[in-house]
Amino acid sequence: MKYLVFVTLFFVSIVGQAHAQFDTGFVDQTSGISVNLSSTYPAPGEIVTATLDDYAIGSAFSTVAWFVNGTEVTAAKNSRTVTFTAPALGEKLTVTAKLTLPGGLSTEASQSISPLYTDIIVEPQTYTPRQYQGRALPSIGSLVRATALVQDTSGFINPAAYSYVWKLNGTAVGGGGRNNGFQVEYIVPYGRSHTLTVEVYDRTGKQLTRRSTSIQTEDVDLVLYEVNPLYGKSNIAIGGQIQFLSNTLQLRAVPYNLDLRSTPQNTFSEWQLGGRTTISDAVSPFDLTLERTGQGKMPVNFKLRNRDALLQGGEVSTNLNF
Amino acid sequence: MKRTYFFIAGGIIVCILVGFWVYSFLYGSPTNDSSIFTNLGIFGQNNTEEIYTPPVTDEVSTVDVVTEKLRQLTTKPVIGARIIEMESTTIMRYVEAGTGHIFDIDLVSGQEVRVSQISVPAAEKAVMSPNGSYTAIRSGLGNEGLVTLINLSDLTNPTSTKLPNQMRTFAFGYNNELLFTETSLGQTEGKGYLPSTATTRRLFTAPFVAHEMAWSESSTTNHIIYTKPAASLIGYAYEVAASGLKRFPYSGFGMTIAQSGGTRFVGRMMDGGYRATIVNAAGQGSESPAALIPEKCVGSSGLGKQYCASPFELTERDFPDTWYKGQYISNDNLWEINGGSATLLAFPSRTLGRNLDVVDLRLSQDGQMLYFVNRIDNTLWLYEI
Repeated sequence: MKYLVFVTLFFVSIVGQAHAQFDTGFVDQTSGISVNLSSTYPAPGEIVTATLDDYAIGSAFSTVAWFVNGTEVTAAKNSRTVTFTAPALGEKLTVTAKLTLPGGLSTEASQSISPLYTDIIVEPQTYTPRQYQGRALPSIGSLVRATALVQDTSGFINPAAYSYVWKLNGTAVGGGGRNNGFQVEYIVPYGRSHTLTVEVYDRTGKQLTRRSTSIQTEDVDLVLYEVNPLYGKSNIAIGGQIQFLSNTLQLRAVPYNLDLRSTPQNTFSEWQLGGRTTISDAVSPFDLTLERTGQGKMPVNFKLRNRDALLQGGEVSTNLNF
Repeated sequence: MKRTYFFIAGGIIVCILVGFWVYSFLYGSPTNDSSIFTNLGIFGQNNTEEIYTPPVTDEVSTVDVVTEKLRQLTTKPVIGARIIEMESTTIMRYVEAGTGHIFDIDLVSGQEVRVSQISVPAAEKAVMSPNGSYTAIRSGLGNEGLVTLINLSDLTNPTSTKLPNQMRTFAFGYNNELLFTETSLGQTEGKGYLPSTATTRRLFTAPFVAHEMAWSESSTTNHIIYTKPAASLIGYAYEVAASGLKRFPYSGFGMTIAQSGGTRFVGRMMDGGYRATIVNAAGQGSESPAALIPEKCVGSSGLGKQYCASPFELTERDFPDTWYKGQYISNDNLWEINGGSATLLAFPSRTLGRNLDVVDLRLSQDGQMLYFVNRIDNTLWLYEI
């Protein structure tokens, strides 16, 4: 019996596929095509690709012509895609695909775009020194604030007049849209990257724009620097070796990308000198001052771990030559 | 030899040595070329030695300002410098790291003098007004980042004022106005402080805090605020227009921006690595002919040229993050950019045998001198074009 069911299902599936391949092309040859855009809400100057979707009618022997604002793109003749640059802010562009069937009948489909600047500014709430010119990066379990800035010809739109839906890996943050919700905070999820999306709707429910960005998750990056009592922290990081020539040497471990909510109470840190744990300063546990008493070579290690988010941590080491 | 003779000879030698030691102990060693060891002051020899007293002069520190086209001006670490045209001469004014003391180097005579002894503890960054009258120095002490403004209008009596603002970025602009940003409650405020009247005005507000500024020194060019660069995050920029912030039409991973002399430099990660676009005053952009980094470039108003420091190639994957952290050290050459071509001006690693990682590159008003700080040791350098 089970063989009979299996054979029946097999033949049904074969017939279904054959039907899909041969049937639709001759049913309705004057409708059923559409144009899909690689970015429905592009920024001004963004490269956009339009693709012809004629799956519903099948057009094996048809000719395809592409028009951008009514002007034919001859280079894209009979191509299923056309690439163009989104116009400037405030300008509208219409891309049209015209399909002429072997019988001479033709059909066309269009898409229009009115570019807006939709910027997602990602501000991870992690540590970097005040003098650091770069941006803090998100580490797993840390807090991120994101801001959506939408600009049209008159400047930034008034966020109070719009509803914002933020999605983290496809799931709405906070359960749904918020009026004036142009900023959002979220905890960085597990994984090497996550996708943040914002959708903006007006009061009629019409979608104004949409933008997604992929954000890499970084580790806490511990970097060692030499500190001069007069001039402060060196600009140059210590690599695998450091020459200890003076009588004293002050080292500082800088924990880039450590969650700003970390406190000395929920953070474990430890300096090791030659494999033995040293007593570090409770006030500034990231600093270690050494005094030279002889000569030789010795490894120095620093370890850090956030007890509230165990994936936030790391280790850095160097070799002292003294 | 008899044993007696041996003892007599040994005794005589010991006596001579003891005598020489006593003489040396009493009269010291020869002090000039005319002194001789055999002048023992006996048998009528003159035993009077003239005591040499070195002349006492007020020592004036002198800097080599003429020998080479590319030359190091200081051994002290420097946190800010500017060439200032005086009535009779041209001076290089700079601020020493850590102390905040201000020095002038006369670029004609090479004489160096300290013009301000006002100390700013843990001084970490300084900027100077175009006329040289004001210097703003930020202290790295604590987390506040407070700025001290030093008035050098009267060099005989410099005065200082502690500004109340916690400045994130600051620079002098047109009309010697101190331009700065402050952050609070998730937004950034740009302000201008006019030292001559001690008045502050608000320039703009931006709804984010992780920012850097490309300040303009001209009254006709807008300032640009842009998101702090990161190799893994998209950066955006906004011009500070009269009507408010206006989107600057460039964005990208690791984007940094600098502007001077009417030229804007926009660096970002492109398909072939980190590249810069040079945007002219009309807003037209062109790809740079070399691997330029905006923070290492300067434009010359009126000359139509730009000058940049950059390595021959920039293949660092996480640029600019690793450069900011000091994990990547650039090995820079000096370039003149003119239209679509780049001309090599200086090749320090070959001519000097040492690397220069250039920051704070500036051009003198007459367009004849480039000067910069070597980030590796914070020393001040000058290149005569």
